[in-house]
Amino acid sequence: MSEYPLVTLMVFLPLVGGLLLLFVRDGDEAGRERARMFSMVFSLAAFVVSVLIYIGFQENFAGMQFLERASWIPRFGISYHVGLDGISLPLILLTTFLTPLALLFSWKEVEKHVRLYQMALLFLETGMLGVFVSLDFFLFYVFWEGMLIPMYLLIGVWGGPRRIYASVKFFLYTMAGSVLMLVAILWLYFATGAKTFDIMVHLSQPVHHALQGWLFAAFALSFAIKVPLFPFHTWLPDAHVEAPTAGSVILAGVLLKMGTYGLMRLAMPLFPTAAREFATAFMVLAVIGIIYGALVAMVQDDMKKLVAYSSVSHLGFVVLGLFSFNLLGATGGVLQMVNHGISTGALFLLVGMIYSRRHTRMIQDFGGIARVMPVFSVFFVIASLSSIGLPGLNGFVGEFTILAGAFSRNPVFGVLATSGVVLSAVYMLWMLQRVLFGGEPSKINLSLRDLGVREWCVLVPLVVLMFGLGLYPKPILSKIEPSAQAWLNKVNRRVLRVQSPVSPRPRLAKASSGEVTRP
Amino acid sequence: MTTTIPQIHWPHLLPLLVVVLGAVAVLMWDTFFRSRDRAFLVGLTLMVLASAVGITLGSVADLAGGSVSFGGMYVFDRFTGFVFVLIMLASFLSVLVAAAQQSLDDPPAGEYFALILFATSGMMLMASTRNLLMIFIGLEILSLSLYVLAGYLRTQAAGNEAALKYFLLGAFASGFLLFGMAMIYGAAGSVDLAEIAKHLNTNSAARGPIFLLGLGLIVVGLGFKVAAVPFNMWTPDVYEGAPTAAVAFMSVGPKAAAFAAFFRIVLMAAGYAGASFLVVLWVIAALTMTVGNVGAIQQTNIKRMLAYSSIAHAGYILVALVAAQGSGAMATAGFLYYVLVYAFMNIGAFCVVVIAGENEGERTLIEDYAGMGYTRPALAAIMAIFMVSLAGLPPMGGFVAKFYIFSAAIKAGYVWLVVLAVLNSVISVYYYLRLIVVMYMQEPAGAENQVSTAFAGQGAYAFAALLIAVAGVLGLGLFPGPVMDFALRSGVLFN
Repeated sequence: MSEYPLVTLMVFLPLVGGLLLLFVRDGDEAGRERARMFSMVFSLAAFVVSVLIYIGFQENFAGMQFLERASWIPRFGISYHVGLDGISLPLILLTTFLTPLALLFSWKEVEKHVRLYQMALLFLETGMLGVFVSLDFFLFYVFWEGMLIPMYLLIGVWGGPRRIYASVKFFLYTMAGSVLMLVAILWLYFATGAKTFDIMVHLSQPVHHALQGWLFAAFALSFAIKVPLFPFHTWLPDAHVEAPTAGSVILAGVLLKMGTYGLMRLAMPLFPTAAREFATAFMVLAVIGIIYGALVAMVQDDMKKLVAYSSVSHLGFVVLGLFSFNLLGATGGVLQMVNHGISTGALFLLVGMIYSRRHTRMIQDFGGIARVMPVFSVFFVIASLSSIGLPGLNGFVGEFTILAGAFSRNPVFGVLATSGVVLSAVYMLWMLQRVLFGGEPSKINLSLRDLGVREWCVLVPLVVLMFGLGLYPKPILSKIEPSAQAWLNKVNRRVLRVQSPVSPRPRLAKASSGEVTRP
Repeated sequence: MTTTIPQIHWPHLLPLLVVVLGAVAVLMWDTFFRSRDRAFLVGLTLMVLASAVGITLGSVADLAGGSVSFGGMYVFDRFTGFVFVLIMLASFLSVLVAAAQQSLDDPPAGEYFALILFATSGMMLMASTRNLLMIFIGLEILSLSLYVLAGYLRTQAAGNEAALKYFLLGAFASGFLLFGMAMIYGAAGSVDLAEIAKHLNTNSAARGPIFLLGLGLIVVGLGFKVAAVPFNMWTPDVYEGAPTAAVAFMSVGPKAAAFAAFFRIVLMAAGYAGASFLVVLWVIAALTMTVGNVGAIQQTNIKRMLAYSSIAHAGYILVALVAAQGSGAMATAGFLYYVLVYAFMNIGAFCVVVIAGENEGERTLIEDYAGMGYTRPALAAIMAIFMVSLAGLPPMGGFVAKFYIFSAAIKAGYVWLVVLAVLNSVISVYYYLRLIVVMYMQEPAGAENQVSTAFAGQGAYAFAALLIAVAGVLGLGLFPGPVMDFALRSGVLFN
């Protein structure tokens, strides 16, 4: 589709930048400034490449595009195989879009070990992009796990007072899920006899339904922890609260989506029968997550924690959409992943901005801020409304489609989930009222500066997107829909195909990979 | 009565001969010339090892099947060749680490390097024979050298304690091993594994309790050497007391050799012991991983932590041993790949411990590493790479190694053992990462706030060792294909 290896370029630009940073000394302020500029250049370059990919993306083609393939470990059928479709494209754009913003925000906020910080963020970007473009299980797993280390450093080195506890908890939780996925990948490899770790090959071959249950469970557990789906969410508030702002932005904006992306790309289409069987359980957990997350968010007195719990609630919507098994749910799910990244990313940035001024995030320490920081307040209100899902802003489009999908699948889930929207209005507006509007600003808050130029630059792109996607979502929806439809066909069609009676033993010596057609 | 002279393939004996003669040469040079020139002895030892590696690779390159010399006492096949390279590589790195540890040179003496070469020859013997007695002789040559190395700093009480403990327990283990071999001889009428297999194959009565008991005692003896639970008690104490460079040496090569012998025994004869034998190995593997990892969590001394970690790694390799019969060559290949990566990452980690402790006596408490990421950035980054690799995270070699072994085990059908193993790796992440926590997330203690370049004053040896180790860990993690292939071709034994 393209002569240039754009995907590889995009994925590895940040990595190269991070490695080159080793040669940038950050001993003095000038050096730190150089390191910041340097990493900004590389992350912007990755963004530019991703925009090129967006421009070159063929809308009406549902399969994988921008495919690149190189042999890696031929004996085991492992290859460097990357590509993207309408499901991964929005998430890739989100990643390359949020990383420069995170870097820009950290420009003045991070003074300690600047070079290492920039390296961690750049490595993290490579890891996240790699996850979204990998079409080989081995490659996928390498990015999936490799990405943990920079995130762990971000939380652990630049985080809050309980950062070490939070970072280790984050690591162990995610790792515990992903190692079981590794076992499942290996099992899949030997049980299907496909002799390849290529995801596309495995997606096109039905897995015997006697095997699907365990394999789906292992994959889904790994992704459910990442999402995080209730009741695997307990690492999230700790990680979010302790992480530095940029870390929270990336964590909420992109990392959580890796869980829902994994469900969508791997767990569900690989094991459609099992996914169907577990669908109700997942929808129940998603709805519990939506309501529970909202209720817990409501009683938080720490703004960052509130936003963190709201993530549990919002990601519940995504899972609900995916397991609705219809086009509305799937499309809305992908869209909501992007929307959540934008609005929650903005909220974390705003909380970070006020934290860096007052060194507190407690709601009770504020009140009447709108009078002191009018611009900040405007941004805060817009981001909050986007998160609530006000029509005209991006959050509405995603949530509405998901709810429509859930209703057509099962009205009970639809009704219950809708209450989550109401609750989100409650906790967000209540927080706005207490922080921005309620009461007189205390003496210490009277001296707060309003937003500076750099902070404007961070927030304006996000707000533009909020309105853009809210008023005219077509440019992104039109890219998602064909792939979502193809995904749905795959999930549904294959359900029928595997229901033919077969012997209960896993087939160990079936099928060569030759029969598979690739786009 | 005619006597047939057994065949001898001299070219294939060459690596072993080079190492033995090299050991004698180093010892003699030191004794007669008393040159006190340590650099010369180090260079000579490295030369000996490097040329033996070269010869081995040369003969493996165009090897079809293999050769049997001395009627089975010396078997040279691809498996032998790979283990040879592995062992000599570990020795090579250990020599560099020993050369970097200044305290080993006080008083100056060259026998340290001669002992390493003798131990290397013992390990090579163990790996290259299908004769039980040769395994024993190899093990003794290795062990006696190791006992001395463990107590090499003879003025230090801790070292003496370590050496004595190691010796006493090791002597017991050798006794068990020999007793087991005697019983197998009693049951099968031979000490040659091929003959034993032939006898057991035709004579089902020979597969009785005496054979099983013999096999069990061999498991005890070799289990002691590889620090498998419940024969692991010596490990933390010996690792803590012995000189760090010697620990680096004894943590890799001897394991490789003992496991090589273990694999030959399991692949050639243990099939006749029935499924219950594999169940025993299964349980030992599971226990070894778990005890090692859980034990490591609570350690405050880095050498003790690495001791428990080495127990855990022996557990992962035991998983490969359990799968050895069921997975074809894959498990054996997995073992080879694993130990290769392990040599790089573990000796590398010990090398960092040596360097970190070089200036102010041995710094072996984990808290001594506080803030090292900022006071000695290069050294800390390298240590972090080794820790991440030991934890089995991509993109390091440790991940591919685990991937290989777990693949083999799943291929052989041991899914639950693999589940246990991966959950154990999650536990292990906790303590490996703790070092990263200490190095990067805690502030340096007291007056060491000035940044120092990592290798100042450590000399070229440490630099070379770390360079090789890091290159190995990263190379085997990012471009594992060729070596994986080579290991797979080496995974088939020649009889």
